[in-house]
Amino acid sequence: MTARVLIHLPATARRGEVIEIKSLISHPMESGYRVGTNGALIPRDIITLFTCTYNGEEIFRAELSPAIAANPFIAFFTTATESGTFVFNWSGDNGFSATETAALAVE
Amino acid sequence: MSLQMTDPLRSTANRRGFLMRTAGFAAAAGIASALPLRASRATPQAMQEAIRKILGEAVLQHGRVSLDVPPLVENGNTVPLTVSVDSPMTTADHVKAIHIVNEKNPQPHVISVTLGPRAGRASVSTRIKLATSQQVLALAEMSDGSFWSESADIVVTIAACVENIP
Amino acid sequence: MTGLPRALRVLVVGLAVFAPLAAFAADIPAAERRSGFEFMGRELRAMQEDDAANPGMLAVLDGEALWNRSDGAAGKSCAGCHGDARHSMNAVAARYPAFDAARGAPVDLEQRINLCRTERQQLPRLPFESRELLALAAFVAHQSKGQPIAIPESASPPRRRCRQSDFRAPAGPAQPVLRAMP
Repeated sequence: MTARVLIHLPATARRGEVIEIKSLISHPMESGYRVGTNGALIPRDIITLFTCTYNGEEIFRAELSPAIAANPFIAFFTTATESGTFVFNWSGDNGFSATETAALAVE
Repeated sequence: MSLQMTDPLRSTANRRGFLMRTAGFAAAAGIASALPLRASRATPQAMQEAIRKILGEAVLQHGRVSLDVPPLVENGNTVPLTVSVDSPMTTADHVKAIHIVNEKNPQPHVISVTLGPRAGRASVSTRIKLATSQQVLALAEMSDGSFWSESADIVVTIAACVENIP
Repeated sequence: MTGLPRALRVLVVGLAVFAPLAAFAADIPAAERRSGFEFMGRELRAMQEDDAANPGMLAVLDGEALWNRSDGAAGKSCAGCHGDARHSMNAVAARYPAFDAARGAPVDLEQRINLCRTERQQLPRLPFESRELLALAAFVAHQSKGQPIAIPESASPPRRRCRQSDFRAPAGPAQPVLRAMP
């Protein structure tokens, strides 16, 4: 199944207002430390990097480890400077890659 | 059917056999404990090493950081956590990065976040895994190169990472 | 009794004392009933209440996609009969488990979904605890969010003691009840 993504941020904001962005993506975040029913280690399969750009400029970066819970939830803040587009990128093990965009209108 | 069990120490004829059997169990237990556990735990030393790598030459100071995490977690597989840093978040004075490390998971890193003055507020929320009751430490790297920190001791009942699948 | 080992004697006496007490156990009065939600820790409650943070919302999204998907020999999707779930499924989950008078047996939400699949859509039933069934049930239940569970009294059979014949083995091969949590 394709990764499901949920992004929450306000649709509009005042110039200079600090807004919270909440991101949620479906991913097992298999730590690589669990032992399966056959007695062998289940191989690691995690998202390793999450970035957010705001009109092309990177405003947030997170390097994830196996200690991040499944279906990674990351919430952070940014200052609404101008109307534009947020681009969210997730990448990780086994060539995992997902992208989501969201628009913000700033008055 | 009678549930009474023969007391192994009563019968002198079996006594030597009983002692040899218990010695065998003890020896086997000794060997088992010497073998490495399948999912080895990081030690507090691994956490100190990770902190040293993050700090470089800088000194770790306590304060300015607040770590909001439950002291007792229902499920170590998903522990909600928020790190906030007291900072004006201006170009001259802001938080450059936030790192979270742990004491007793199989490896010490949790997350490393890069911020900047555009963040507006130095606060990050996420959900983490904890393998056992342990200390979690949040470090904030400031634009002037200083490091500030806060720690929390967390009791974990259902462990992440090191449990076996039934 | 004297011939039995001590442990077994304690067990027999214990059962004799407690069994009649259990029979006298009454329902908790309606005003004193508390949802498990009230016993959750602060952070867990906050996670559940926030649609932006609740990972179950990912299952709701999956369920919405499944709701709209046309599959199987009949080529019918849930939406094909039920339309927009926001209207058709409103308050539906709140009246489950329901008593199916025709079958003379109770039916829970997931069983109801599977009955629709096999009888109306000509699709195979989804295994319990499978990702797809959990997603569909989450999506349907989401349309009753915030509503109290209200199973109509008239829809349930008269109260009586449970009988052996009340418990039927599920059709098909036995399904594992628990799955490994990621």
